[in-house]
Amino acid sequence: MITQLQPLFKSVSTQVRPEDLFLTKGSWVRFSDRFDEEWCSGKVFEVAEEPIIVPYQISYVLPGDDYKDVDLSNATNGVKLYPEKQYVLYQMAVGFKPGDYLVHIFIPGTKYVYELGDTDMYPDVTDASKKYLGAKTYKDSPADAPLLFLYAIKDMAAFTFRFYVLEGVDYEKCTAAFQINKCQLTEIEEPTEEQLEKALLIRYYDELTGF
Amino acid sequence: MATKQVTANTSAQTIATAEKHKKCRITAINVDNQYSSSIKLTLQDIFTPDASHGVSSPTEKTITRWVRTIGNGTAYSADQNELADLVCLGTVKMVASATSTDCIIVVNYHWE
Repeated sequence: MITQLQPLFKSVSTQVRPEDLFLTKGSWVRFSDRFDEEWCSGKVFEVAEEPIIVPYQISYVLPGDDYKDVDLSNATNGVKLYPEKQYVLYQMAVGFKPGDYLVHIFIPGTKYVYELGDTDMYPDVTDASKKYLGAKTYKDSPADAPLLFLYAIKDMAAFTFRFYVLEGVDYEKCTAAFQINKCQLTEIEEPTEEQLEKALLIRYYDELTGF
Repeated sequence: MATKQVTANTSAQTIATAEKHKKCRITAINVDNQYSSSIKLTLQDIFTPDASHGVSSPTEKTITRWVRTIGNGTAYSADQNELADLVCLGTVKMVASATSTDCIIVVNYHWE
């Protein structure tokens, strides 16, 4: 799942730190029943212990008008930011350092997340206009105040970041800064109405697109 | 902020070694050239790009980021406007058209 706070948030909420936006001990999460994994599908969990936040960064120097796809999963060629155990949820806040580049997000593989309803309206780095469609920049989620959150469990489909350096730039360094909130989950076998209502819903990736 | 002093040399002198996740912003370049003739200075940005969609096996690149010829017997300070967009992605080096310990170059920079 992906959530993103409004960019305005970082300027008006002066009393809130990025850490305050993370799941904490006692938080409730509910997984969509679209998940295939039996241990979590349609179930409600409580964050059992105080989570541990692990910072990590990835950077790539790329030429202008060119791009690189980066798999965030634990696949052989991935950067391996996913959990390796069941009953663990990684909540990843991701921000970007300033630069002349865009970031497109896919899940799984090359399936766009940020598209519109018309069949022609999908992100396309070869198109002068559509390269900006759904693209994230450091202004959408700054590295020092991330507003974009990804959620990952063991063996989940891979998020892919496509870093695209704008035309006219010789080379650019693209940097994504992650704060990975490692949450251990305990199942709530008989959740109350309040828990069902207030739990953070973790949607399956195909619920993010197609409308 | 960091400061590095070198003297003019036809062999490139390292100002700052690349940081993986940071860019090097040059904030000041001060030169005192007491050598017997003018010296041309070139600031180089040296890095190997990552493999990309268009370039699967990139090679090391040396990009010229700043060039200035300093007359003999003169001092020069690059101003803020001149350096406003001077950001390097890799290792930063200074190379000169002549070698002389009488031409002193001081570079201020920080990582961001």
